[in-house]
Amino acid sequence: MAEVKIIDLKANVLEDNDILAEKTRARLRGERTFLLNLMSAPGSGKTTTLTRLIEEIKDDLKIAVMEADIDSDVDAKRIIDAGADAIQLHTGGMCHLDADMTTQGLDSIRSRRYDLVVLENVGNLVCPAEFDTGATKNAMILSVPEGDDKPLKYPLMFQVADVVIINKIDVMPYFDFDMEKAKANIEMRHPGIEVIPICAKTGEGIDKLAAWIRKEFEKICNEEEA
Amino acid sequence: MSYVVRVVNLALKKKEEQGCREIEKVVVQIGQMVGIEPYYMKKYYLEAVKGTELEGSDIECEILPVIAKCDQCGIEYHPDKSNDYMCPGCGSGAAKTVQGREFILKEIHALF
Ligand SMILES: Nc1nc2c(ncn2[C@@H]2O[C@H](COP(=O)(O)OP(=O)(O)OP(=O)(O)O)[C@@H](O)[C@H]2O)c(=O)[nH]1
Ligand SMILES: [Mg+2]
Ligand SMILES: [Zn+2]
Ligand SMILES: [Zn+2]
Repeated sequence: MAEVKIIDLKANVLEDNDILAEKTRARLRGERTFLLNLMSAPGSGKTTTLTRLIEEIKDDLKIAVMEADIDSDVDAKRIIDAGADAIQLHTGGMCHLDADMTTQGLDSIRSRRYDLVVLENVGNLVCPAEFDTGATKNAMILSVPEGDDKPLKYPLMFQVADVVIINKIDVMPYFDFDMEKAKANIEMRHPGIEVIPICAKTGEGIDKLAAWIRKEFEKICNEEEA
Repeated sequence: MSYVVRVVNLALKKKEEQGCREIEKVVVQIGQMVGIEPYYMKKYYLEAVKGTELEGSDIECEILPVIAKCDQCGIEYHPDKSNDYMCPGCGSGAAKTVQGREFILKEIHALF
């Protein structure tokens, strides 16, 4: 009888994704395109924030948005109405985007033509943090109704984020949300990270987010010259 | 479940590389933060291998608990509700994740 042999592999299952993500970042540097991966729980206000941001910066930066909507093109339409280009990514019902789906999206919009491409990731706080998409920077939105203890429950999301946007500050009086506590919890998970409170509904604070985008975009432009 | 597809593809590649005649079982290690239930992993694995050279093989999942290393005092601990996700040594929440994000194909049990 044949004997079963145990072969030790210890192989990282996500290695191919990590390699492709690095390649994508190098490509984007060459194209002088800034790719922002925007993550949040469902309904935290990703699309509303993007429409506001587009209105604020579309005169300075050429923008496209890649929407990972599961089965509707509602969000893509809202982006186009706001004045940017948009495409719908085919996620096949997946709960996150990976580097492969992202590169396919970049190819089909021809990312070279844009200064800023935003990836609206699938609404989910768990696995989008696991899969490196190849984005230049990661942003996450925490909305007030979700609570100020989210950073404690989803540490990885706050660790991979480069900026945290706190949205729906208009409803703070109705929720038990302590802004200082939220900021302290975020600082704990990711010391030194920038936190930008906004109200996407009214546009309050969007100028701060736009300033962050402009600053980061400038960095990649200077990097290329260096 | 792109994780499952990745495991199957990687195991097929390893089977070829190692020259195994048949795979009886693959063993994966999943970090707790990845948030995948072994029950679903197995269910989707058994679907995904249909029609491949891994059909008939089984999967075993080991969950790796989250371990954090405190930035302040350096001790390692399991962050959870009981300690409010904070360091039991000094109360700080600033920490590096040293385990819990992995997704590893640990072993294949093969027949030659
Ligand atoms: N009160 C309040 N509501 C907001 C704000 N921003 C967004 N909303 C509302 O929150 C809901 C969800 O907003 P979206 O922008 O569609 O959220 P999303 O994250 O893109 O949602 P999904 O793509 O479905 O995950 C909508 O009803 C918005 O009107 C805000 O600043 N304040
Ligand atoms: Mg949306
Ligand atoms: Zn997922
Ligand atoms: Zn400590």
